[in-house]
Amino acid sequence: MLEAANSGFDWLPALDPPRVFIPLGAAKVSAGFPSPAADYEDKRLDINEYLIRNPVSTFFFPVQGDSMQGAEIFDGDILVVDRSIKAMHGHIVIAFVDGERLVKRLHHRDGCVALVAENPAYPTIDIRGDMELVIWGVVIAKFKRLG
Amino acid sequence: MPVFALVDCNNFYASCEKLFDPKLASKPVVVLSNNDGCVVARSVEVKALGIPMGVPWFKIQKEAKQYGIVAFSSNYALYADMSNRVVEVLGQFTPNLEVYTFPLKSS
Repeated sequence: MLEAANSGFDWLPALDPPRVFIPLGAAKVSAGFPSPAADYEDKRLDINEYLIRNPVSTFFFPVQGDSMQGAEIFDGDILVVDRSIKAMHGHIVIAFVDGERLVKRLHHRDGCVALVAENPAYPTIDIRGDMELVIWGVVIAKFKRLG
Repeated sequence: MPVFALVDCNNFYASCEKLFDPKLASKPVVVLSNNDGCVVARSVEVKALGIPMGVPWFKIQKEAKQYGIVAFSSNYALYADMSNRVVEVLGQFTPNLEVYTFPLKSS
């Protein structure tokens, strides 16, 4: 008998959890670059609000592979993908090329579309007329637990 | 004068499964009941083949092979999540919503 597939695929729905505002410490933690939380100084930060703009159109995808490491997207990171954003040149996108799901930077200039890896070990994928491209969503953030 | 809107999602479970794989966009897709017993959702392509709602999966093996029907075990967590998203989007248009069943209403 034909096997039924499981949609136990590797995406996770972005739930709409209760807001948890965590007070930011007064002292900045210096890691050698300006803190992305600097603007929230003396405020409280909700991680969901920080990472997600539009919960109804947002999904999480764990990353496999190292093709986007130049954009600081590493194996095992979890991407925040918003389907409500119109993909533009320069966006990092979840794309399907001939059915294969990829995360790449979208290049769209002079009528040419390409998907560019952020790792010299991976070739740029030029989208030709005979290829099927679906831009599924725009990657707006990533996160990862350390230990 | 009040305006009423009726919103219904077509082939909801099957549509949910298709969302995550564009390859399936124009393929016949069914979703099966618990333990892959019966067909509980049919994509428009499956309906066009004349496969009825509720038919046991084992009874349509021939058609499944012939037409390349893709079957999914039901994933209610997914359908509930997607249903909530739909309701939330509709809630952006009006606070007056009457939500009629999420569970097992597929046609």
